[in-house]
Amino acid sequence: MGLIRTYTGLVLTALFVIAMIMFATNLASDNSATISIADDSDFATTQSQTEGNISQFYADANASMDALMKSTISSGDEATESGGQFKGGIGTMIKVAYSSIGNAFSKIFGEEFNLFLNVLIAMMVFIIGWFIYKAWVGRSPD
Amino acid sequence: MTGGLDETLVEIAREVPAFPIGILLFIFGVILLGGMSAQKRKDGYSDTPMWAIIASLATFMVALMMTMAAGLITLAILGYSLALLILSGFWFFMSRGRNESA
Repeated sequence: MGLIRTYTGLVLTALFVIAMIMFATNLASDNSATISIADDSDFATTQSQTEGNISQFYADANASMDALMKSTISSGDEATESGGQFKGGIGTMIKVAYSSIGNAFSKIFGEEFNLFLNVLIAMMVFIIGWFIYKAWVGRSPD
Repeated sequence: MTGGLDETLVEIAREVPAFPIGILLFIFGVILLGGMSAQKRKDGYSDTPMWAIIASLATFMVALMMTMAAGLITLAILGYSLALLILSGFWFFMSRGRNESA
């Protein structure tokens, strides 16, 4: 696992969630199904929030790559001063994780079990933070 | 000749409301446990996240088919199967591959 693997996993999860909800909605619409997942307001919210967050990641990724292109490393330095090119997108990724799996957790385990999701996301923030440090400074925090 | 076959399932579901849930759990369990044990026997290991997403995807597809007939499945059960699919997807995409270094 690493920064690339973690971000890729979260993006693929978000795209998978959007694809499945849209497929179920369109299947119900095309075949005039008696029950449609579109009638569940929670999943409609999940879809719209995940789409918004993944679109924001597009902007963050472009800004991060722009920072990477403009960054310089002086001779003898081990790392750049700000490390902004590695930090871009972490806030959006956490929102993506919340919006894509938050409702699924609530559906199965109930609203009272949201503590589990919060702790899981907090652990991911911790791990992603260390992955950024690893990519930026070049040291292994394992 | 085969018209109205779904009425049998609808009638059973009307008398026994847990019937659709039982069918979906059966499909999920057979694919998950069957796939894991078959892969374990063949390759010596089992990729649990992969079989979880395959099983939940198959379960969700059957649940979607059940929405075509009135009275067979409720919106809540369909929501549960989609929630299970989403969590399986998260597990699958975030899990480390067998040949992937730590």
